[in-house]
Amino acid sequence: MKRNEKLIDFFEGNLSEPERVQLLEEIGANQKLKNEFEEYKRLYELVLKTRNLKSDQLYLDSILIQFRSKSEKSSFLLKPVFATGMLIIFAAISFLLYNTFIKNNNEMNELENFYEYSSFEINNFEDFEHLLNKEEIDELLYTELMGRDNSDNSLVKYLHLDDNYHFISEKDAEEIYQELLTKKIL
Amino acid sequence: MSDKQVDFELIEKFLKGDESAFNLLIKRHQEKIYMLSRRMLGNHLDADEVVQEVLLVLYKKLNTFKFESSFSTWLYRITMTRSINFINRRRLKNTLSIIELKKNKSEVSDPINKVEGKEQFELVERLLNKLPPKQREIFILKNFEELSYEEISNITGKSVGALKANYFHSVNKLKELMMKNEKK
Repeated sequence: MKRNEKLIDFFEGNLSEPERVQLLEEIGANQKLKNEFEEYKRLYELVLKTRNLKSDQLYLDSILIQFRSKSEKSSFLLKPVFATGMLIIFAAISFLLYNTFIKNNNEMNELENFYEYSSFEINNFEDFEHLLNKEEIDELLYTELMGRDNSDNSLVKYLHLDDNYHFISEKDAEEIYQELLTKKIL
Repeated sequence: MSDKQVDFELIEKFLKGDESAFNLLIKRHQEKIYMLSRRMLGNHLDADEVVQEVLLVLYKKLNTFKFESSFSTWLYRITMTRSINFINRRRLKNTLSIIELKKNKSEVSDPINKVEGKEQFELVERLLNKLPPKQREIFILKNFEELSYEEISNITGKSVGALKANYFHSVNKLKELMMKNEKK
């Protein structure tokens, strides 16, 4: 056992009587060991003096009062805070759900319109114009289509709608292909 | 009736809804809670905060007490854990330098100011504050609470061997600190 540990054990009361006597003899014969012994002694004496120190009773009596008052305050504060929080969460969820529902509904209407019109076989411009007059069709698209139609006097021709919705003719496709080959893109 | 049995009876009463039993239980142990956290933290204001935290934990978690170990062991564990957590939080706050105001305030309402032996108590506090929290914990439990290594092992969950090694380190370090302090 190291000398330091032996000195600590001495003050902790962990040494047997023969060990204690032997250590005290060593201390008596060795000044350095005696100094070290005195240092430990001072530390243990300081601990002993402050071990049983009592706190002020007034403070101790206030501990429970403080605790009870804090818990009452927190339970009082919790209710409005909790209610407000819940209200905000509820409003946010409602807003999100409402937005999602309306958006989906609009998208569904647009999709339905698209299918309705795309399944309609357009043979002449009058048929198409009749469809364009429907309110469901986006006004901007209507303007766009009508504008284009005025330029070359044939919407059907412009969109190649007479070719079963093949918007690019074979000739155009060939031209594009040749152009891509020329510019070495393909 | 032993202290342990009295504690158990009060806990059972509280768990059945008797609030006054909780008050009695706290009154029996409040000084221990305060002095433990005070020695761990080194000032009144922080100790007071930890005391309130411990009371709140006890109030909410007493239903998880298993009546296997003594209530004191459980209390030591909660107080020490809360104190060490507080030291870590305080270290972070100190890094951000936002705790200075609190320190001045602590001198005003310190319950130790009115007690005899205040200077010696403060010296011990200053010395303990220079120890790492884990060494401080074992030194306090061993010397001020006079617990055995086995009891401390139950509280901290560390082996007796590790505790002994830590304890010797803490004593030697405190002795050196005290010598330095005397030379000043």
